[in-house]
Amino acid sequence: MTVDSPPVLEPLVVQRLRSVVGEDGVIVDPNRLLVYESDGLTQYRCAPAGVVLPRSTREVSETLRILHEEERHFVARGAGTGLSGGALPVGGAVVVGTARMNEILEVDPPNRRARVQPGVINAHLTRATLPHGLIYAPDPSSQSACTLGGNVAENSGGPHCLKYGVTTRYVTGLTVVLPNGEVVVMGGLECDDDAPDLVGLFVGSEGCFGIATEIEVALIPRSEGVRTLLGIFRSIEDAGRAVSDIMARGMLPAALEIVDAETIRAVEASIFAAGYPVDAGAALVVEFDGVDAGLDAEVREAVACCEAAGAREVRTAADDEERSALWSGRKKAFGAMGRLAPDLLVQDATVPRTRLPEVLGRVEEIGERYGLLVANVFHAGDGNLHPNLLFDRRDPEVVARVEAASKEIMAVCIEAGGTITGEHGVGLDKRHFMPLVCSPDVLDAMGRVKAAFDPWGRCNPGKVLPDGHALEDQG
Amino acid sequence: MTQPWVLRADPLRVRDRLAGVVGPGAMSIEEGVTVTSPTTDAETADLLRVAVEERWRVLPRGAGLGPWAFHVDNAHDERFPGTIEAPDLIISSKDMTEIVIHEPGDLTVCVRAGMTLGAIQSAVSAERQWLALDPPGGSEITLGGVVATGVAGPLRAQYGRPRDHILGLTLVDGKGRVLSLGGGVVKNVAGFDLVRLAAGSCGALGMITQITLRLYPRPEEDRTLIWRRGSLVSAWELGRDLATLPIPLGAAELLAGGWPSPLGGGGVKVLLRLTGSERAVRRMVEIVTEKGGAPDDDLTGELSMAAAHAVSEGDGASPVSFRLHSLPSRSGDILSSLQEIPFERLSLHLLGGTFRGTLPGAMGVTPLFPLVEIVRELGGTFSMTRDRGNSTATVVEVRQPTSLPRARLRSDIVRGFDPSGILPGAWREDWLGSGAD
Repeated sequence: MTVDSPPVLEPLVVQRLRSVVGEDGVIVDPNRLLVYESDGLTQYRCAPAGVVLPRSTREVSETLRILHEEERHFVARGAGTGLSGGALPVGGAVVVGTARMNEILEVDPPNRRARVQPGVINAHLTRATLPHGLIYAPDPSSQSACTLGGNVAENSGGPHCLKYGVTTRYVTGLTVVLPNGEVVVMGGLECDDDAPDLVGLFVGSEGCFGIATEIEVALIPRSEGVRTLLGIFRSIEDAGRAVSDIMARGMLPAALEIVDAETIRAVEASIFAAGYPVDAGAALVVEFDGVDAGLDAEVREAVACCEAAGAREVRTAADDEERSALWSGRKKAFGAMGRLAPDLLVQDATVPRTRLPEVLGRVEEIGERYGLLVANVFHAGDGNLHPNLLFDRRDPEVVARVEAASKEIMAVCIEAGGTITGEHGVGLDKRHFMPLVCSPDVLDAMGRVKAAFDPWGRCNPGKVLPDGHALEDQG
Repeated sequence: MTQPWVLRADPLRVRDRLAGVVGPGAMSIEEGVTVTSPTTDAETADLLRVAVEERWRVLPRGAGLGPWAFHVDNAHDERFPGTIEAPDLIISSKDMTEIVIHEPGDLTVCVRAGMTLGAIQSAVSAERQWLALDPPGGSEITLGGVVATGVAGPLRAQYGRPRDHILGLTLVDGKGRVLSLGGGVVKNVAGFDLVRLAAGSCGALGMITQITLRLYPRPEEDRTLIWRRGSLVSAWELGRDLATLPIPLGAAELLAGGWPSPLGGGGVKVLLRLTGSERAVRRMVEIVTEKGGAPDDDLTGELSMAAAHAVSEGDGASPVSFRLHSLPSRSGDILSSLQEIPFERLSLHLLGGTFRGTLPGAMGVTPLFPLVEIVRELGGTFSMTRDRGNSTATVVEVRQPTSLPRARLRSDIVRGFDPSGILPGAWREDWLGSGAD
């Protein structure tokens, strides 16, 4: 759906912005703006009034100061891979893109840290640190495209966050430009006395507080060994039992991922075919990493868990090539779903792991009731579900059913003690669900925190907080 | 930020009002300060509302045992400027002591904030689970105090700080609102992260009354290796080499001076804690001994845990203590300077660059003054603390320079939770910025 049409950026404003970021750093050509009208959640579209592409903290600061003086809203944007409409420039906002801020400023092995600009691609950081035996742990599925700035904004997760935790655990310091152009340095490994924890508050703020222009992250040693196995199950419930058993035995795998039958068939029919049996009810990817010596024993125990849960086959990877093959069915799942329908709504909710079987059953029932194809690919170890609703947005009646089913799925997850988003963020898409998980007082507290950063309501308007709780709604 | 507390309310009348909330049995007086111990969120909220109406300064507190706990504070020393004001009311979580729910299958537990770390560990150990936190102060300090101050111990090397363990918490803010923040699941990005904001905010936003935590499976093997060296420098060189090995160390500490059993005995010690499967730990022991030679002590199981407990206890309250933080790569230079200081105990978190130390009380803080210049020169943060029984004061600090926009930001955020300025972030100018570790 189109949210609204953008007001044009005045020539004088364009001129002022170009004086900061250069001629090629401001885009106002309507054809080129089309690229920025949507993010990974393609249901919503809305072209920005303009796009500014700064290169440094100074340029971001001056850009925001001009926009502040001109009373223009703005939205920060990384690679645009977000799945909650968080980078959608509603209300004629100007997009401030970080594409040209893609420098790894420092890799500091003795202190196990790195400093980067926000436009650095997630996978590029680990590529730069690997020669030092270090990695950046958070690995969102889109890591070959998504940026560190986007990861900070969304507090991104990823398959290996089961063991290592999400982005917020690894961000140690930030340089942030506030909506009026002021620059604030927060935290940092050198001076760890920031209380209250502004860095922790900023991570996951979905671009509503300002723009992070330098990010300091903690690195961890690369694991000595990795072992991956794939369990093939007759049903998703059996796979879920294997997950529960593995965790109950006190093991902590690096990843525990389930791919359901619909997804397996989509993957196997695509160019991403990974050799998963097409008649399987579900596949479970289990990965262990750490000191090499202990891993084989953990794999044996996990295989036993899979077999006890009724796995009809368990494959273990002998080398990196086989490991990639076992993972490919999981990692290429979203790409393969394009074969099933032209549009895909990737839902994201977390439930207590012990409630997974029940919730999955109810999601399936909701899909059937609304006549929708629902394919599940998810982080089973931490209860983070991704029911994918497949549809064709050209049919408004189907779109209405998708929206209704989506709402019911959220309600089921909340009823089970879960939450409305585990890693994709609230953005535009889920802000109307916020009252389901936050009391009016909590929403008010969030609104006041937002106002401390952005009393003018300029920064990513219309996101996260529902109507009536954000400054822009209060006039 | 200090409030103009010109007109003081009649203490007896206010105490009557407070007693009407929690009952007289949940009230006491410590050095003229009223202490209340509510058991419910509703009581806590009512106490805070009374404080707002009566303009009483409030100090949230756990059991009052931790080295950085919220003590009554009348510290004054002619050598240091300023006298820190006392609160009118302490709200203690010491009577909030039950487990709300433990979900072993989900590896989560929800507890009331006054529960001690020891009691939580004991309760979850029946399911072969543990809370991977070992902050200074030992097992008798409350979880609420740990979360509010954000202090972490050696295990942060592998498991992170308290804030990394919290899934959700209940905060009763300075308006008396009961805010249920976060949730009970391990991944949750629904809205701004007020859980992280509250954790480590030292009571500036309100009283934390309930916390949901992530648990971990109890490691199959828990082993602590200790090497003893004759000097700080030689111990540092060994510690640096061991701590930077590419293996997941549970903890890596350098310890000097006198430490409780089983860490007694002479020499400067390098301590590594290794946790995991039996095979993995055995392999890690091979790797570290290949680098550092055979350890002088090899503690397993209960003894390994006792060693961790001894570090936690030893880092606890002391008449004169200091905390110095800088980049780990500068630890060697700082240690060289520390050789001249007559400390009682000294610890260095090898992977994080944080030093903690204590001095005999009779010496006062004077011997520590050279450290101020060292930190100013090298970069980092530093604080010295004097403790007089129930009175703790941070007397000298070197902090991260605070820009005006950052100071305004912190102040505006705090004011959103405490518009009347009854909480310590408003009335104690030294409050924020000294607790996190």
